[in-house]
Amino acid sequence: MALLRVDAELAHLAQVRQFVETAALALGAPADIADALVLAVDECATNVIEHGYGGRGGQLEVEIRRDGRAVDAVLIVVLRDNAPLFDPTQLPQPDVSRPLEERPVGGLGAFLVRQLVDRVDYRVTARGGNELTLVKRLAGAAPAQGEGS
Amino acid sequence: MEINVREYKRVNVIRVTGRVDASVAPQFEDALRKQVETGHAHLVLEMDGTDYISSAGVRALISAQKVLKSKGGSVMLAQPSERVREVLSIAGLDALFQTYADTEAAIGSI
Repeated sequence: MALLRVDAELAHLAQVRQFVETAALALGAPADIADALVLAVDECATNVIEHGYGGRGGQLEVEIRRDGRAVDAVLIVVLRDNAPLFDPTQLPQPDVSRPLEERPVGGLGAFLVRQLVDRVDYRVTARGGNELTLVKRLAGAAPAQGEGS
Repeated sequence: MEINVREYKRVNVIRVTGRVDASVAPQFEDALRKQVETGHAHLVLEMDGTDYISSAGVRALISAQKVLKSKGGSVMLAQPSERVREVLSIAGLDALFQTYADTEAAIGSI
């Protein structure tokens, strides 16, 4: 399990991405899955910083762990923040089949997240914060570093 | 992220290198808007050195494309990196941008 706590500022996005990439690779994710998680977490963190905290600042926590073994292994990324409660899984899906001119520009980040990971769950923590969980399957991935056979 | 603009007779070329995330997207959007408002109807974006792009950068591309299409022009992508192509594909937006093997091919298509 790996954990990062940062001030919720756009300037820290690069640090968040670096943390996710390093942790995902160390937990046995192939490069393409690590890349997908990096983008998904970037989108979620950006949303927390820009819309959740609205630029007022606060804390953002990102935790990564691996669950299951071999065929059913998954990487689980949990983002926690103390911004006003907001459930991003309730955002409407943009219709990407509509012509460009008719499509609203917003909602793209949330759409990408849904495409990049296998599951997105939201809950309110016991302390009243936001908790978003991203689950990505690791089918056929190598074992995590230090994991026995 | 680094942005360099080259101006030609019929087209302007913007070279984008590095990472385009939400922290630098406003600069990216400003650079595109400036070219879209004052430059030619066609804009070529050289993206072979664009290592990373998130939805904040993609939104700037879409906004520029909307304006230029309404002027009878377009945003063209020259040699987009694999990362850029993947993100546009996942977003279902790859068909909205003509992609060329290099800048010369993009300019030649006008």
